[in-house]
Amino acid sequence: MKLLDAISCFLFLALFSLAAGAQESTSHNLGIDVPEVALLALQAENSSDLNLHATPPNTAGQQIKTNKEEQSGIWVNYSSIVRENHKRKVTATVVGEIPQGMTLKVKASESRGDGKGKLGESLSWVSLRNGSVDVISNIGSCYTGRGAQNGHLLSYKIELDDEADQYAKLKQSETSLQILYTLTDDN
Amino acid sequence: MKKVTFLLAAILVLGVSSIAKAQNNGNGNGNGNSPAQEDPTAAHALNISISSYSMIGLAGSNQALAFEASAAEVAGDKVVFTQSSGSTSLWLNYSAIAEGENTYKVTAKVTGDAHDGLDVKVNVSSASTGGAGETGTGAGEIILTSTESDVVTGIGSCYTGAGEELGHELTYSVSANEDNYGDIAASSPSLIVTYTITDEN
Repeated sequence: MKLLDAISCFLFLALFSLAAGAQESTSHNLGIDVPEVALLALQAENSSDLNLHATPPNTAGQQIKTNKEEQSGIWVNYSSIVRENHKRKVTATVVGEIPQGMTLKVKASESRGDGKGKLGESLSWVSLRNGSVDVISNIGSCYTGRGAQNGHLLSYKIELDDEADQYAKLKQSETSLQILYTLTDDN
Repeated sequence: MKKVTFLLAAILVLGVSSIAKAQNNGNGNGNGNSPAQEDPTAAHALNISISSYSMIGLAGSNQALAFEASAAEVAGDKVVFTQSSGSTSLWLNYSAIAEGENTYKVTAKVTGDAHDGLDVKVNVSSASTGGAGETGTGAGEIILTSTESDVVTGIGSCYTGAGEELGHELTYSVSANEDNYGDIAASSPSLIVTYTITDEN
């Protein structure tokens, strides 16, 4: 047994010295491809619909009550890998017609949860319309984490339109809208 | 040197796997059950409801008005009434949200004791500034009766503002009805004037 060990040891040393003697260093190429990533999803805490109500005032003569802030329970998740010195943003667009006489506003919270990297910054309350408006800016390479409690929580409110003569356009109505969010380059 | 190269390669491999993980993590969708979608867009539904309503109120520091007839000073004159207490102006405040193109109106009526031979009049001004929307048109001076009379018409979605100096100014007067002067009796009738906002259409 001892003899066997001795032979093994000898062979190992011989091979090692042979290899070491043949070449002092070696190298090979290693290519890495990091693709750009831009993924966005919405995650709802529960399945109930998001409803905003304009309610009667407490006293005759006062205006309609609209400005109650409503946390939607909907979270914006995203993953982003950007090219150097590039930024992304999240925009929102209303699909449908906002009732006349009022403004629909959204606010994304600052990112919470398991996110890492250069997460986006909230632009606070912004008025939504039928064209894209920025909601979250300065997104670099990052991920928010997946699901509710990760990313940016959306809050909504409706406000009266400040422009003159808009109040008369408020009418009894039930309006269903879609709010479309897009992660896009911010150039 | 080899160790350093290997370590570098290991770090890079680790780095790539983190990115792959990030891509998977980001693939959430609206309900958490559907297959992952690789898409930079997502949407959710939002409903906005506005209910129709109409509310009316009166403002004025002293809404118990009293009128007194002063006895004619010169024989041959008719009796004349002057306000002896209460606010000289009350203010009609209202808030409304209309259904489509429908409008509201305000009616008034007087109830209480008989006051034959006397006209109880109210002058309803146009709406003051301080509100917004489609406020109604004041009727001017009308004689109140026991049946509803329109005092403000054409009210759409609006609010007048709440309080004095806001909405429509109401000024009252009492006078003898010359056609029924013979019905006037020495008495102290007590009356209630009621304003109601209602659908006009």
